[in-house]
Amino acid sequence: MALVVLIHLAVAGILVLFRRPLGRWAFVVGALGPASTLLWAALNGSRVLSGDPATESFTWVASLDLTIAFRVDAYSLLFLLVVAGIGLPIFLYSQSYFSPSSRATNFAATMTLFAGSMVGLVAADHLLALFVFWELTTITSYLLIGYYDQKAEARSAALHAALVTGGGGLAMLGGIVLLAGEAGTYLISEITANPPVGSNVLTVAWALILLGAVTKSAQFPFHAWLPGAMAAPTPASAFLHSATMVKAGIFLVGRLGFAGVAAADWWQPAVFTIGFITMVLGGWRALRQYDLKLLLAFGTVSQLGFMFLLLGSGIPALAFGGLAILVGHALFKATLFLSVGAIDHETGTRDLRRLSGLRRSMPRLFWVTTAAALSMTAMPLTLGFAAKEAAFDGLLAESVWLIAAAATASTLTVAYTARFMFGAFGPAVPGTEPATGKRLASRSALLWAPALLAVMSVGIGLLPTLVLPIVNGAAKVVSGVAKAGKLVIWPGFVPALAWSLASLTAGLLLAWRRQLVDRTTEAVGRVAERLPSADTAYRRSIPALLRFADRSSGLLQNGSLPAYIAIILMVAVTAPTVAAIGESPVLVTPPGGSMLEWILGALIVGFAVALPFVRRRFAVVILLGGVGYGIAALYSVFGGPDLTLTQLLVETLAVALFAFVLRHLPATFSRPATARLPRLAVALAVGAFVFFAGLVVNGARSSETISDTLVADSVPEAAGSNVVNVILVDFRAFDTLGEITVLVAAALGAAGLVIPVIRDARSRT
Amino acid sequence: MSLITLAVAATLFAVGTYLILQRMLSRIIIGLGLMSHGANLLIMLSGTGPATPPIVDGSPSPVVADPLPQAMVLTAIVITFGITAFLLALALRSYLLTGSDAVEDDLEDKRIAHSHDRSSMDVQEMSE
Repeated sequence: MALVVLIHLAVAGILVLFRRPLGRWAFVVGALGPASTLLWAALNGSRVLSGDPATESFTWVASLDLTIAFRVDAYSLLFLLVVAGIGLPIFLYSQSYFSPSSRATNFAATMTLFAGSMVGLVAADHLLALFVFWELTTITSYLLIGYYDQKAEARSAALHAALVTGGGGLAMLGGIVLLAGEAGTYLISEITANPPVGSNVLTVAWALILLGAVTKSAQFPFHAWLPGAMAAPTPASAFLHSATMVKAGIFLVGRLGFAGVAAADWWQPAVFTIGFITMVLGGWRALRQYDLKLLLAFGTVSQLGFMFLLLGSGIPALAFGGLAILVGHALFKATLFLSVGAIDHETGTRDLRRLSGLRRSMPRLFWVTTAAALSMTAMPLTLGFAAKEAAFDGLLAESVWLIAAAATASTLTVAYTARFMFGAFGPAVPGTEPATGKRLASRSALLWAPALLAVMSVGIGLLPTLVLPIVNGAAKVVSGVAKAGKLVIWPGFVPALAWSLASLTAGLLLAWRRQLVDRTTEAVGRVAERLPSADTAYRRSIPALLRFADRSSGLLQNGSLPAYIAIILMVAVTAPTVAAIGESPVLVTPPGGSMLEWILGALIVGFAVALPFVRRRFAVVILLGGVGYGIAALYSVFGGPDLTLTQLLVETLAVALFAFVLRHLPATFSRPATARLPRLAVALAVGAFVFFAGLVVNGARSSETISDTLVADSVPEAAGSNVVNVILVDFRAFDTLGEITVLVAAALGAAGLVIPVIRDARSRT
Repeated sequence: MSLITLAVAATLFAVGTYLILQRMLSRIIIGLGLMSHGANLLIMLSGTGPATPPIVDGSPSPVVADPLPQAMVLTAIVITFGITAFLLALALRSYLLTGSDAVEDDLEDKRIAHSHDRSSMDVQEMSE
C-alpha cells in the first residue's frame, strides 16, 4: 500500500520536474496514480474480501508509538475502488478538458498528489497517519479549488474550504489524541475492535472527531464551503465532490461510528439531526440554483447528509445501505459533473436559463446524462434505486420519522434532478440569449469518460451482484454483521418500496408542476434570504477573527521589553500555581536554619534590597559584590568548598568587569521610565511564588537521590575522592565540555561587540 | 532545606525581577545576576543543608553534602558569568554607539500593534 502512495507522489514529482516534455500528456501520466491503485486492488482484492486484510507497518519512533501503519480491509477497499475507479476516467477526461500548459501540468500534479493522499487516508490504520493524509487532502484541495487564481472568487472559495476543513481537521487532531489516550492505542483496527467506554474525556474526544467529519463532509452548519468550491475547474469538482474529499468525512464516521455510538449516547441523535438538516437544506437550495454546477453542488450536500446519517448511525442495516448509496452516488454524480463540464466546455455557459436545444445538438451526451440522472432520482432498474431500497429497508426498521425524513429529501432530489435535466437540455427561458452546442465527437474524452461511468452505473444497476460482495464485506467490517442488507434489482412488494414509490411520485409531481415550484421557491427564498445563513456566518466570522487577532497581538506584543518580560513571568508564575492548587499539595515547613545561615541571610537580603534604591553605579557594583560574597560564604556552610572558591573567583572577576564597563557609563542611573507599582507587584508575585514553590518541592521528593551511587562510584570508577570534581570532569565530562564551549562563545561574542567600538572611540579622541 | 535560605532565595528573585522590569541594560544585568544567585540557592536547597563536603577520604561523617546539586550549581555559576560578561559588552557597545544603554521599544512590533489596516485582498473581499 505504501508503494501505491509513493507511486502517486513520484508521478506528481515527475510531472513537476519534467513539465515541458510531459506537458502534452500530463493527465495521462497522472492517471498512472489511480491506475496503480486499481492494479493493487485487482491483485489483492479477493484476498481482502475473504476477510484477510492487507497490512503494512513502518516503525518511525517506536518509543512514541509512532508507526506508519496501513491496513486495507473490505471497507478501505470499497473506498479505494471509488477513489481510483472514479479518478481514472476523470484524469483521462481532464486531458481533453485542459489545453496543455505548464499551469495545467501543475494542476495534474496536484490532482495526482490529492489522489495519493486520499488513498493514504482510507488505507491508514494509525490515527495520526490518517490525520496527516487528511490534512494533505485539505492542502491539495486548496490548490485545486484555487486553480483560477486570477479570480478573486476562486481564491476566496479555496480559502473558505481550507479554513473550514483545516479547522475541523485540527479539532479532529485534538479528538484523536484524547481518544488514543483513553484507548491506549492509535491503531484504528484496535480501537474499533475494542472501543473505549465510560469516561467523560471520551465525550470531548468524540465531539471533536465528529466536528472534523462534519466540516470535511460539508454537513450543516459548515456546508457553505462546498458550493463555493465550485469555483474549481469542473474535473476537480467532479473528483473532489463525487468520490473523494467530501467522502473522507463519511469514511471517518463510517469507520468510527460504531465505536462512537458505544461510547457516547448523544452520538446517534447528533448524527441523525445533522444529517437530516443537511439533507433537506441541500435539496431545497438545489431547487433554487441557475448554475448547473451549483445545483449539483447543493444536491451533493443533500446526498452527503443522507450518507452521513446512514453511515454514522452505528446501525448495521443503515451502514450497509449507506455504503451502497455511496457507490451509486460516486458513479452518477461524477457522470453529471463531467457532463456539466462538457456542456460548459462546448457552449461556454452553465446557466440553465440560457442553454437551449442541447438534446438535439448533443444527443449522445444527453443519453449519458439521462442515465446518470435516473440513477440519482432512484428510478427502478438503476443502482440508485437498489441502494436506496437497501437504505429505506434499514430506516423503516428503525423509526417512521427517519424514513419520512429520507423520503422528503428523495422527493426534493427528484425535483432538482428534473430542474437539472430540463434546464440543461430543454429550451432556453424566453428573454435570455440562448446558448447552443455542437455535437461532441465520440472520440473525445469529454464524452466517453462520463459515458464510461454511466455505463458502469447502469450495468451495476442491472446486476447489483457485481458490487454486492464489496458492499457486504465493507458493511461487515464496520458493523460486524454479515449480510446486513440486500442489494437487488427488484425488492418485491415490501413496505420500503411504498415509501420510495411515494417519494418518486411526489417528486415527479413537483417536476411536472415545476413552474409552480419555481414561483414558490422564489417567494420562500426571498424571505429565507433575510435569515442568517451559514455563508454569511462564515463571511462575518473571518473579519471578526482578524480584528480579534489584531487587538490581542496589539495588546500583548506592544514592542516594550519590560512588558514582554512581565507577561512571561506572570505566565510562568500563574500556570504552575493553578496546576498546583488543583493538586492541593502538602506544604512542608522546613526547620528555620542554623545561626550562620541567619546571619549570612540577613547580610545578603540587606545588600539585595538596597540595590534598587542606590543610584550611583559604583555603589551598585559594590552591593552586588556583597551579595555574591555572602552567597559564597553560604555555600561553604552547605559543605561546598568548590562552590565557595568558584563563587569568590567569579564574583571578583565580575566586579572588575562591571567596574571596567561602568567606567564608560554615566556615574548615576537615570530614573527608570517604567511605572513603579506594576513592577513591584510582579516582583512580589515572583518572590512569593518562589517561596511557596520551594515549600511544595520540599514535600514532594518521591524517590531516593541518585547521589548515593555517585558517591559510591567515585573512587572505584574515577579514582577521585572529591565527588563534585569527579562529576564535573568524569561522570558528566561532556556537559563540562559544552559549558567551556559556551564560555568561549560568550568571550568571542563579547570581544567582537566591544573591541571595534572601543578602537573607534579611541581613534576619535 | 531551611526556611531562612528559602526566604533569601525568594527575596533575591523578587529584587531581581524588580530590576529586570525596566529599560536600563546595566540594571537588567544586575537583576539577572540576583535571580541566578536565587536559582542557585534553590538548587542547593534540594540537597542536605549544613553538612561536610562530599569528599571520600575514609573518615566517617554524620551528614555529607549531596554532590549532585553542587556540580550543577558550579556549572551554573560559570555560565552566568559568561552571560554577564556578554551582556556587559552589549551594554557598553550600546552606550558607546547611541549614548544610552536603554533598550528601546521594538519598532516593528509597535508598527504591528498599531496597524489595523489589512492589505490582504482575499480577506477584504470576504468582509465586503
